[in-house]
Amino acid sequence: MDIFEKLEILSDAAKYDASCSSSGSNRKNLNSGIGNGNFAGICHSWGADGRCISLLKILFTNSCIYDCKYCINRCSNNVKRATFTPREVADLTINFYKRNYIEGLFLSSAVIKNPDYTMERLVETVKILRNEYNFNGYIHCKTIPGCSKDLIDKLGNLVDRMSINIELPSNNSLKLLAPQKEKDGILVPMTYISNNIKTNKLDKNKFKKDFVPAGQTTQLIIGATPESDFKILKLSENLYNKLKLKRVYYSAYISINNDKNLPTLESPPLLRENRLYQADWLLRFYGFKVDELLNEKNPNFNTILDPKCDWAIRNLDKFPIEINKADYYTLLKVPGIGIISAKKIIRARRNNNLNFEDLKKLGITIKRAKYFITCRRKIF
Amino acid sequence: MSNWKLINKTYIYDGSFDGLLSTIFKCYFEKTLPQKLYSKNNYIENFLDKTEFIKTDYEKSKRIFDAIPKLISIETLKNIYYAFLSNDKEKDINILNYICNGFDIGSEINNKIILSYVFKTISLRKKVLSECHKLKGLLRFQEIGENFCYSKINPDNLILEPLRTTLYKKTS
Repeated sequence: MDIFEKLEILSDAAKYDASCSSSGSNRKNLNSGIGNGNFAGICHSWGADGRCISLLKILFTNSCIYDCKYCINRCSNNVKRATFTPREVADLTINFYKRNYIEGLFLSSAVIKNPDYTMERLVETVKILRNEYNFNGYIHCKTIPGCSKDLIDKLGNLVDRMSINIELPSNNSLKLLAPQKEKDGILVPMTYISNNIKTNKLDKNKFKKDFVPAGQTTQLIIGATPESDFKILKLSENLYNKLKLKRVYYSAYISINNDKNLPTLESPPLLRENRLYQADWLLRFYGFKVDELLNEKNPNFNTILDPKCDWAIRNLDKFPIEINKADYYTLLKVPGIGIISAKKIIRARRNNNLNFEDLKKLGITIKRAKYFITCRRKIF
Repeated sequence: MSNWKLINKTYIYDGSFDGLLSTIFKCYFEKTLPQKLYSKNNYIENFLDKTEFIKTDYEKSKRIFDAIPKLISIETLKNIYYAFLSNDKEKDINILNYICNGFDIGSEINNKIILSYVFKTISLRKKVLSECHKLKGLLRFQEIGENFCYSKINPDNLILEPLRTTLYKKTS
């Protein structure tokens, strides 16, 4: 099997991984190597399905020992199998990078033999890239659940971002659909990485090297199990607050396999995925809490209105808000005003008392916001 | 802006960044603001305009270049540099107003985005940088010989200069 055939199989197998974007990493060009990571993020070009393709996204191998019911690469499926060697992946990355096709590498893998063996292969690949080719670009690597802490340390010192996929949001679902995986096998390494990042940041002089500078992420599958949006978001909130994750990705479940425990969906629940992402942004940047958005009585999102608008309509007593007086987080609660608009308003009102005309001049769309705000105590 | 005199003239400069800074120098020391300002290539002749050609003087432009970070802020210098690279036809007069006003009130000018010329300059910068950002990712190179890579682009704004540093780091 030649390398292009392998590439075809393994890049196709990686398309179900949603979590590829970079942020928060600023790696300088060192030792006259090539490339540098970029703080602003990498997603430049977009695939036909709207996901970014600017990272070289491949699996190291797709011959897996596990039999997770939802996965295309489970061992009981009859698909073409292929495995790269570490050098092949490194060569591919460098060649694509020099032609400006990619900005970095997103390396995931199925589990061959055992978790530790797989992790060793991944570490070797990244080592070749960083030490031999002096590649200073962005690398995102998946951690295999259940591998040893020693290997996590080694990998963490080389890559920009690490991630462990939780996939199923509760222990019961995990037992049902991925019986060989354990909740502890996922959460223990996550906690370990997050603690390491914390100690590394506290004592930079001692370690000299950054440990996973772009933070860690995870991915959840939406719609394969009966968990409600409320439960999923609660989990995300805990991950953000306790483990300081950079992002949680939500991936709508796509029916590929047939199994009595799996639901048969005609189309993936993309609207639900979208609503969860919207709510996720509200949690991270807008100062919302999960309990404000959802509760036990209505555990799922409105399909017609987005989460913020839905919240505003349920809390009409908090409006209208005076643009010239409200603080940053109050401004953010107005539907139609985002982070950029709120910052613009705060900057502009230091010198002027704003009215609706001024808001239009600043390029703020008030199509939705006009029902919730007043300017100089006047409504629109 | 009260002590500035508006004069009914159209200034024309040679289209270089130094030329623009020389124009700013002239306006600042004469305390006069022209009604219109164009680069040589963008100007369409009009017999109602009283035109005056501003000669590029590198010493004068250097003085303005050094003065902007001191008297206003380094952010302002970046704003006008990137706005200058855009293909907008009204950019020159907006930049002139922005800087001349900036010399009067200092770094606070960057917060006065309610003023149309400040807002336009800042949005032009954004436009240029976003195109630059797109091309950083979408540019594809072909190998046409040993150690030669080739790619063809057709950008709206003059973004080769900001692009250069990134691509240089990538291939060196």
